[in-house]
Amino acid sequence: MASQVLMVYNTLQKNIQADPSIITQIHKELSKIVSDAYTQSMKSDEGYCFKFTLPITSVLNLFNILKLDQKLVGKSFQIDWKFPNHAIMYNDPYYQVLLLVLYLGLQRKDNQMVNNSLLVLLQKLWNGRKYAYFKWCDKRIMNYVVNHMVSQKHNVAKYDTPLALLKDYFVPTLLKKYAPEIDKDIFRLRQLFMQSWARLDQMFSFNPVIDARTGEKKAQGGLLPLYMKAKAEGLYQSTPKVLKNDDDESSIDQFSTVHNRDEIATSTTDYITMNVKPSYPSSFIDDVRKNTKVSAKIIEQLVTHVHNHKQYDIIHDLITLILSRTNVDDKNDLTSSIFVNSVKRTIISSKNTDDVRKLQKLLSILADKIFTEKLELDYNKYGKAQQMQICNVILYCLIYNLQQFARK
Amino acid sequence: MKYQTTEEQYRIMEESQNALRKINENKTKKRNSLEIIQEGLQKVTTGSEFFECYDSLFWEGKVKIDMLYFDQLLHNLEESEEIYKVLGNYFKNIRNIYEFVNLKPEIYGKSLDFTILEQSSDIQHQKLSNIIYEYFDRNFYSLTADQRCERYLEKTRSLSKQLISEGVSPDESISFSMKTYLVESLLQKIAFPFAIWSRIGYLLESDDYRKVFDQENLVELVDSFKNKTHSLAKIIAATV
Repeated sequence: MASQVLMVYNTLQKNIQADPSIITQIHKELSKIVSDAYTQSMKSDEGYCFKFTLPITSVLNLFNILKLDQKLVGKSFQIDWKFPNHAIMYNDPYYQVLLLVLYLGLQRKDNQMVNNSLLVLLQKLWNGRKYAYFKWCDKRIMNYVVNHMVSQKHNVAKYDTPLALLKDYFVPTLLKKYAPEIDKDIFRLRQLFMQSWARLDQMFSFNPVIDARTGEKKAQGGLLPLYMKAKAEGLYQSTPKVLKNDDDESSIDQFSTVHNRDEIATSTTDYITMNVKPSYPSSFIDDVRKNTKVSAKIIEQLVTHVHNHKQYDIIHDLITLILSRTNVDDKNDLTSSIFVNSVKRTIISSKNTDDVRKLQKLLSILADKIFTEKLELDYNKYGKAQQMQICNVILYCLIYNLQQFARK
Repeated sequence: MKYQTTEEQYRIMEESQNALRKINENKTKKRNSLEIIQEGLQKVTTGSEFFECYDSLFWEGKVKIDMLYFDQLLHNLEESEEIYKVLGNYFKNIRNIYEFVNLKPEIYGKSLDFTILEQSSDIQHQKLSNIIYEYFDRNFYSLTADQRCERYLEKTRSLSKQLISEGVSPDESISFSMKTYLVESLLQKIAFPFAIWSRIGYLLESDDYRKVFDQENLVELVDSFKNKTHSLAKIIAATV
């Protein structure tokens, strides 16, 4: 039996021969849809909780451009693919028209048409999968999962946004695998469609195992179990705040300085907290040991535990205070020896200013947390003078990371 | 007497129960005296709030005042490069210890403070002479022969033995050993007044300190200080 979808495609071919502007119109419509998706993605701060505003009308308008009957196309797909009437996804004209355009692009060797049609198709699949697993997605938790819990090999760790992931990973890999087969047999569109769904689904959840106690099926891999774990443990990544005195009246210059400092502070804090397996050279450890008299073993443990996302806010505040006290508002200033001398003069040797007192208090809170939670030592057993030495280990660690970040 | 309403009875009952609960809570909160003493001891031994951090400005002041002591203790000795070198190393060692334990440098002497540096040389000389004299008087001149023997015999035995074996007469050996010990003790007090020396002693022994700090390095620094003090004390004892 002849393929019904192929017959629809042959009709389309005739329509294009009669009106070649159809190709231009398809390009125009798809480009507009993709461009809108970019704009949405750039404006969004939802990260991997992002949901596309679907261009349903624009996509369905493709039937008019192609001069094809929506119902006839739907029937053709149903006959060829043999799905029941209630199979909502397969019956969706949104997917059907985009698959037809994709096939058209493949036949015409029009990569832009192929890529754009598949990208728009994947947008709706993304929304569906995201809704299935994360009806109420907390972007702070998702940010934490993406930045700290997934392996570096996971795709979400490699691509900043869902749009980038779809465009730069899913579109090329799916086409590489299925385009040659579809080119030979239009029925293979079904395989591409099913695999697109399956691969996206796998990203959210895979390897389900039945819990012996509850009888519930629980995914072992993908974003979902990590998200649930982070949620249960109260882990999330908040948007860092700028330390600012409400009483101050800021001029434009002051605002610009605060803005630059905040940028350095935020980037360096990200650099520290995201690097969960830091490696410090022995020369650094030795220098800190000479300066603080704290044993090398404890220094190594202390500086390692600073790299923990739970400490994000406190590290951000500390770096902001260091930059403010040393009057640094340019990344390049961090690499000079003047900066280190300035830290020694204005922070380590200075004790009677509000900033330094605040800094010492924050360092003490952080040191106490690490001592109690990680080293199982009682920070309060050490006198004020010794606590100061312990705090200076963390201070040197932050200075080192500020400089490392600036040199990057 | 008027009968109370049920509401009033309930209110009185509730108040009584609250009072009883508070009494019971206070009873359970009470700590025994041993706990209180232990807490107090902990505060004293760790000295968590008592000591201030190292300050290089105070160190400079201390060196100036300590050198005033040495001017008096070494006034019989001819000035030489050697002695300045010895003193240089000695002060460096002391500074390293202060820095190591991160304690504010302190000066020795009752009612002596840094304002002495603003006074005339004569007053400075007089004040420090009094302190040195008081030290020797308290620890030697005011003691009877028996008291001196009881206090210093054991501590000076080793040096006396060594001198006697080198051919020095027993009387001279005992006298020199005692003088050396007294000077050594004075030098140690000048370098590290009582509270500081106690704190250093505590840190040298503390298990908690060892867990976090390079205690072995501190032990080495203090041993080195003791050796230098002993050598310097012998030089001073030989000239006074």
